Amino acid sequence: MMKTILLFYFVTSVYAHAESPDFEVAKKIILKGNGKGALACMTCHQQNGAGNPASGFPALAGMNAAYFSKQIYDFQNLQRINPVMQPIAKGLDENEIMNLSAYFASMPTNENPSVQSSQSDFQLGKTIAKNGLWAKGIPSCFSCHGPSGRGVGENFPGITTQGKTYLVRQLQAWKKGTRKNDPNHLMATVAKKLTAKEMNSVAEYLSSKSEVSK
Amino acid sequence: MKTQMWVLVPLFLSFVGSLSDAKSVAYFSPPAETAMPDNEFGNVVKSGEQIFNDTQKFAKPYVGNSLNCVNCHLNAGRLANSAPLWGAYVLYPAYRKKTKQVDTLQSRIQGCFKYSMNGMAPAADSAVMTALVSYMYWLSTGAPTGKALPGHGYLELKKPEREPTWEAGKKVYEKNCALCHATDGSGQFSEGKTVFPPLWGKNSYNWGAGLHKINTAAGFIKANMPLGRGGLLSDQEAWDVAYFINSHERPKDPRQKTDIGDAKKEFHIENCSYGKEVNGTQLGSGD
Repeated sequence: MMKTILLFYFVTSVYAHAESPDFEVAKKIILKGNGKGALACMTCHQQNGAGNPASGFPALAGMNAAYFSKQIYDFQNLQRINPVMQPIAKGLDENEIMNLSAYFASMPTNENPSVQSSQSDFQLGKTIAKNGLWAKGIPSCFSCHGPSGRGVGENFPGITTQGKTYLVRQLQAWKKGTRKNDPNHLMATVAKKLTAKEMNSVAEYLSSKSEVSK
Repeated sequence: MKTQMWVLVPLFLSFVGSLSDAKSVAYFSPPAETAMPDNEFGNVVKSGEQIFNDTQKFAKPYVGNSLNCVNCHLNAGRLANSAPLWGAYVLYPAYRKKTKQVDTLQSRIQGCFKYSMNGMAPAADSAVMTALVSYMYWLSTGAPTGKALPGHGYLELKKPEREPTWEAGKKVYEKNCALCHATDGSGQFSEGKTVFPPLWGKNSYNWGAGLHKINTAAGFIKANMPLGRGGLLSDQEAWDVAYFINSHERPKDPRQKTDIGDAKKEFHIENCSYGKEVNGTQLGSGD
């Protein structure tokens, strides 16, 4: 019996090792933290990287690896301000960041629960996402974040993969200037022109993934 | 009634050189997308809009590169200073120096496919052409025929103080454009669709396209780029980066009958780098 268990352990660990040598490091940090300041990612972002849409913790599953790494380094260097993430990011070393970024990027994205509210207008959100508000010089979300908002390259993250609360908070932060780690101020320029209602509306549309794919 | 067709658009590009004296400019306002008629005609208009926005999917046989109409005519062909369709519709038929003949709207659109899309022109009575013309007609509802409307075409920038250079343009490009269009100008794609169009190379517009002209590209860039931050670049920067982008190789000019030298004399007298030697090779071969 012991032999079988050992053999099983040996086979699976070798398999895991050969398949994705660095993912074990990432998995351990996600489940338990690293004991050097980085708490377990799953506490807020869940083991499957889905985040916690209701609390506004972003989804990390499927996030572009270079974008993920940049955000962690920006937290470290105070280029992106978040009191929860600051100490966690500072507890991660380069190798851990690389492993985490690769692992999260490999995870499939998750469905978001649709959150509707009285402060938003779903049709308006759809218009902003697909057509933009050109009378105010605002291009559509999808013209940079991809045809269904799932992200483009390392600079334009997925937005239809996030929950409404997180999206609204980011838009507000871009607008207030409390988040400013966007390349060439592209996102801040857009957010500064959006009203609260427009932010709520577009976030509601984007986070209703089943709607976006229609 | 007439006043309803016009809206005073607050000029978010108030620092745009050629328009800096104006606080706001009255641009023609095309009908809202939701106003598209729900009938047989509306279906064809809708089809035209789809072709326009996703030319790769809906007019594939006529396209030879990775571009969509909407890449140069922003906001589904509605945006002022981005060669809006309502600006062009009312100006055809017209005599054009480029073709040395009176072009109908159809032959003008055929030119877009031959040059900007580096493809094959759809026939004047084809379904694709009918749909595009119907979409243009509908967008132009209420626009006065024969009138050059404010915001038609691209901005015309004054000649720069200093001749544009490759080095200056490269700097502007790397700082402002490479993020989206890639350092090698090849653009970026997602889910099989063009997100940021290729600006040079085999998947971009060819040497016969309007945008290969440095002045035209500079006007487009000044008003519209980086996307959402139009007016950011100085006139000089817009000229420099337009020169840089248009001094790279791109697909061959389909009008070239013999060699580059002859084609240069006939079609490329000014405002372009065709036939010039840049970084050791003569531009125009298409390779």
